[in-house]
Amino acid sequence: MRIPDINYLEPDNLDEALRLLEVYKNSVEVVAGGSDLLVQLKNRTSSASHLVDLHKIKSLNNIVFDSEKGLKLGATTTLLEIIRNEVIKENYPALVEAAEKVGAFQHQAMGTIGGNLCLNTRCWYFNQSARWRKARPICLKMGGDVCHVVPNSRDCYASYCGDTAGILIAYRAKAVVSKNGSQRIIPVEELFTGNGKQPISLESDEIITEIQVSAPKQGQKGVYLKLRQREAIDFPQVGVSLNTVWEGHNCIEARMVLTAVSPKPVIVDEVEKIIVGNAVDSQIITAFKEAAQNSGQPVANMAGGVRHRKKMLGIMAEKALKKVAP
Amino acid sequence: MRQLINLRVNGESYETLIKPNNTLLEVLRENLGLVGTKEGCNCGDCGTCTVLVDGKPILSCLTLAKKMEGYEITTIEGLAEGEKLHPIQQAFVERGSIQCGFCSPGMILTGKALLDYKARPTRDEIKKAIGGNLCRCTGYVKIFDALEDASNKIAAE
Amino acid sequence: MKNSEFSVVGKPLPRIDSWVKATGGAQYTADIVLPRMLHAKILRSPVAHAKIISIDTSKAEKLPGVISVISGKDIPRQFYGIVPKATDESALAFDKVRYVGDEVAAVAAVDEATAEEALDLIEVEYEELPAVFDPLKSMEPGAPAIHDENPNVINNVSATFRKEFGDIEKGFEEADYVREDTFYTQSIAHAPLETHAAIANWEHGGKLTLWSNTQIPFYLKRNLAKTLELDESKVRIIKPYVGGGFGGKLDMFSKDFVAAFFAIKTGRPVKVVYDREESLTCTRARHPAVIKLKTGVKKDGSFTAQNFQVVVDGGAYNSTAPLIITLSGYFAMLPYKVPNLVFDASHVYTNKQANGALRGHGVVQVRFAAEVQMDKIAEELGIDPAEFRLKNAIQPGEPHPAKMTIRSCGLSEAIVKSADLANWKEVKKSKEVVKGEVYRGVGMGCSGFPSGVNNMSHIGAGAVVKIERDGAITLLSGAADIGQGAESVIAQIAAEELGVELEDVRVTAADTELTPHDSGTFGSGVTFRAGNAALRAARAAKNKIFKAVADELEVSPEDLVAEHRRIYVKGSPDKGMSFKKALKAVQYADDPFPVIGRGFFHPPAEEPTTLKDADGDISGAYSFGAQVAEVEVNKLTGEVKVVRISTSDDSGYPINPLAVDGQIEGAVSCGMGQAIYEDFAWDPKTGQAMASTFMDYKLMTSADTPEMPIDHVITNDPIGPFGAKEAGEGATLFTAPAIVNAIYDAVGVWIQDLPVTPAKVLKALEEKEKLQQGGNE
Repeated sequence: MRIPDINYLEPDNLDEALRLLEVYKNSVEVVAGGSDLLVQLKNRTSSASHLVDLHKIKSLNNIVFDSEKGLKLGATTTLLEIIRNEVIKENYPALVEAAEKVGAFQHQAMGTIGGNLCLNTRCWYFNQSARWRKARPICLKMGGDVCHVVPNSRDCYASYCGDTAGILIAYRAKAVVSKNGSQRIIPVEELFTGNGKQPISLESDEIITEIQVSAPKQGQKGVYLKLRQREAIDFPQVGVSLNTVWEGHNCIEARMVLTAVSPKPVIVDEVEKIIVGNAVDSQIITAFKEAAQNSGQPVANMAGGVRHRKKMLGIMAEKALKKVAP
Repeated sequence: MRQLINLRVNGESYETLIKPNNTLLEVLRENLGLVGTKEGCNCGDCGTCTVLVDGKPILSCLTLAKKMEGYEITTIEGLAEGEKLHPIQQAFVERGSIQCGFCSPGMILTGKALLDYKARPTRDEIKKAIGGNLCRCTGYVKIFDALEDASNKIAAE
Repeated sequence: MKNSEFSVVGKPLPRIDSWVKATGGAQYTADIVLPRMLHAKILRSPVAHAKIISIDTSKAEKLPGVISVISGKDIPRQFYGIVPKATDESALAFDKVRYVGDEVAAVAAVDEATAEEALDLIEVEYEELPAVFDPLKSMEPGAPAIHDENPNVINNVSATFRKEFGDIEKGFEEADYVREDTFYTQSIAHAPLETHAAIANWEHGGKLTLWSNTQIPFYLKRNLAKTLELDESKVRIIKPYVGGGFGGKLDMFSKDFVAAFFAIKTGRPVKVVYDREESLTCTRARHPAVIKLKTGVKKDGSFTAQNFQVVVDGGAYNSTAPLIITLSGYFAMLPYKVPNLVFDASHVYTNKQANGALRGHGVVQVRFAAEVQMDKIAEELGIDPAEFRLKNAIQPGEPHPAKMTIRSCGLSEAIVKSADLANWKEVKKSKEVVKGEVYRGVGMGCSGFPSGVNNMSHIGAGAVVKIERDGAITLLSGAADIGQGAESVIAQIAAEELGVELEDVRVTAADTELTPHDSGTFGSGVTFRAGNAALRAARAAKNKIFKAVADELEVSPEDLVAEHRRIYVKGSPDKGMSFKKALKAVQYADDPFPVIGRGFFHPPAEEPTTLKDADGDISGAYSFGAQVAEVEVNKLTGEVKVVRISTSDDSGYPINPLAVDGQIEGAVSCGMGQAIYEDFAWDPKTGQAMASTFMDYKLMTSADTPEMPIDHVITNDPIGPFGAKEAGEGATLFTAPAIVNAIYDAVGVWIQDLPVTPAKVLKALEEKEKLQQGGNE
């Protein structure tokens, strides 16, 4: 369980980092906190031979808030820095809630917002040591042609289990994606492909450099609910993120995102139709629950039980709505 | 290709030869002889290998040693001042918080990171802060007791 | 407290090893480094059941840095195991592999990374055989034979045990109410934070030293010598600090043999450290068990008869079998008076990791069944579950139906105390809805456990107290402290007896060359056995000093007492001298130094002649306890939150109350794991543990920890050292049933297969609702 031989690079400015990513394209991984990637290297589920670590690039670690322009988070801002930031706590409490639910203290101190977004998808036939995996044929996610979870499947259903992506998408946050010589700004949801095997849409020479969240609106309320077995360490079995804006009792904006129940964060489109323009009543709650339940497709790739997780989608969606409703 | 790096650990400088794929845990234990830092799972799930880097608790099994150049690392060996134990260590001794002792170094350091940030945490905050440090012996209760004691003691000083 | 005359014993003193552990100075096995040391790694089987056709190690041998590669054909054809007559395991597979993870070959190299790399270069050809993972299927005729080399194993049943007393048929005839239920308890891991490790050093001339994190150094010595075909006297086992065991470091493991064999072969020290996955999935775990239980009671709640039919899943090897099922049988109903009882159990091989001793070895399973069924019966009879337990609780001095001698027993008091701690009657009556869909409930469980098990060869313990001229006191004990605090407890006992302070006693323990024989850390016998041995050794040394002091003071030795580093005449504290001065008196009397006191203890049990089926006593003392779990169950989500676990234990007289509390709290967290958190989730195709990491294997975290109030019952056992008995293992028995009973109290459903999951609770609630609707139609 040692990390294989690697070429470890620590550029001290962004241009150099992007240049290195271009040079070693396809054999390189970006390291931020390292808490996900280093496990994968040990397990041989990542075969990167070059690592570009961003920790020396000071310009990527910053938190800027403007009450009109909103929040800019440098990609290597740690989850702990977010948790302990009073301005974020005041303006985006659900983001803090999500960051606080990541792993444990240590993971929050190491893990970065960019790294958390780019978490690889998970499956309990994949997140195992090389030795463990030898007892079975190579699965889709490892480049083989079988799926141990969904028989005869040609698609990999590994689940996206990041904690912060859901609420950022619900906030309609954007990611600044940089590569050598160019930059693009995309909605956070576009970071995800929906393919369990290759879940992140970035090319291997691209990195997220910044997350942008628009200023909180009057009457904005968000929430992140996480189903897990233990109150610490665990990845979610179901994640429900909801952001809403209210005018009196009427909802004027809403977005719900489900995580851990699909290869990517799932935006529940119906939610907007169901709730925007309305006040919450029992009919709306029922429709809301159903929409959530119908949107997630948990598969048997983690503990918790598929039927139960599906059921919990609805229950948690209702709970989320009740939490944010005035 | 091995390379020479310089690490600051417990206020001292160490020059040591490493490979780029060596973790901080490997280098602390194998190169520097600082075996107080324990390996419990080697993949970041148990908190046993926790050390402080610039005061923050990090998992040394998931941190490359090379990355640590220029940072200030604190291991369990760096806490006591001579014979005088750090108040957290003292409280762990007095409250019976140590059984097999294997999780204790990481537990004590995570506790220190908490108390350094918030001198008087609530019991719930303590329970949450050490959530990533697994213990199979104690059922955690005496560890909460010790951190509360230490907090009171430090605050009184 | 009764024994307030003690000055060291009975005090909540810090453990003697806590300073060195708090500062990172304690050396555990993996911390030890020897000059020229090699590192070894083990190649494990990727198939669950197969014949080994060939092993080609030539490529691995050519890898630079590799010093030696071995497989089954290179080592003596010897088997090891806990029970001498049931040894069935080899350090490296000879012909067959029997589970995914079985040891096939090993590499010694200059560093760990090279050894790891070399494993991938070993080519093994397997002929796969059908595998079986479910013990009930494994027992069926025609199931794949896992140990076909042993003609005595029929249908994979490697051991059976039957215990019977009274007249079972008459008992059921006399019953007013009979019920039968089936229960299942899952496998859980020991999961000590320190993984298994060993380092061997061979001195030319023929002496092997093995540092190993073992719970039974003396037994390891025997197994290791046997498998190496060395004389036992050539083998020395040293147990360094051990980072937790819980039964999981009881057996000899491949790593012990591999380190030793390579050390002899290469002439260099060799270290083997298991990684977390190996430790979790390639060592031992708790036996899963299927328990059919039929019980008869009278209307007043007294038991008339009980019939246990038990199948335990042994995994690929015997390990502690047949002992496991014997313990289940003997202690199934230890806390209660059941006049007529039959206990039938089978130990069955499957193609999974072997199971072994784990905190509450064999008893956790059957007590879970019995305690939950008791609540079902109480419900039917309309009796309060606490009253039901009080009605049947065994009493000290009473003849136990199973012919055990119960000299001390605080069970009834413990039931009352734990109920009081939990505010039992109030919570039970209130039936309140806590909040919305969250319901509160309380449930009780009781325990009884031996303080060490007799009737095995070498079950005694020895101790030597050595006092030097300068006042240095060393206690030599074979007892293996694995983190539970054994060394501190026996040091407290010796310090009390010698009349010195705890800090004056140094302990050298668990080194087979230096310390007297001890049967090891299992069956909760350490305080009882090694504590009594230490007490006797200290007394013997003290008597020698008293003789010299008595001569000098011109009094009789019987008139002397020792306390707080002084020896003086009883009733005249001024007439005496300091402990150091007393040593001068020994010197002036020309008595030899060091002063040596020897002690040996063997429980005075009236032993059954055989563990197979005979009646009789099986331990020198029995601990008891009762516990109440208070839970909040969410009817909507099925989630169970344990709010409070209230325990009252009878551990005799606690030598160190702080340590006993710690033992109970640790047991609670293990019991909660058994109840709701922990599950290997075996893959049905390969028998592999899906939970092979601490991410997926859910040890309870600090953030999940409930309140754990404790109130001791002090009973002063007549044979235990200073009245002490077992603590901390019996305390693992009641948490799971207490939680399950509390869930019923809260929402009215029984969960009879562990672990309790939200999905199971919801399913049970749905079924209950369907049943009620059906009834209303």
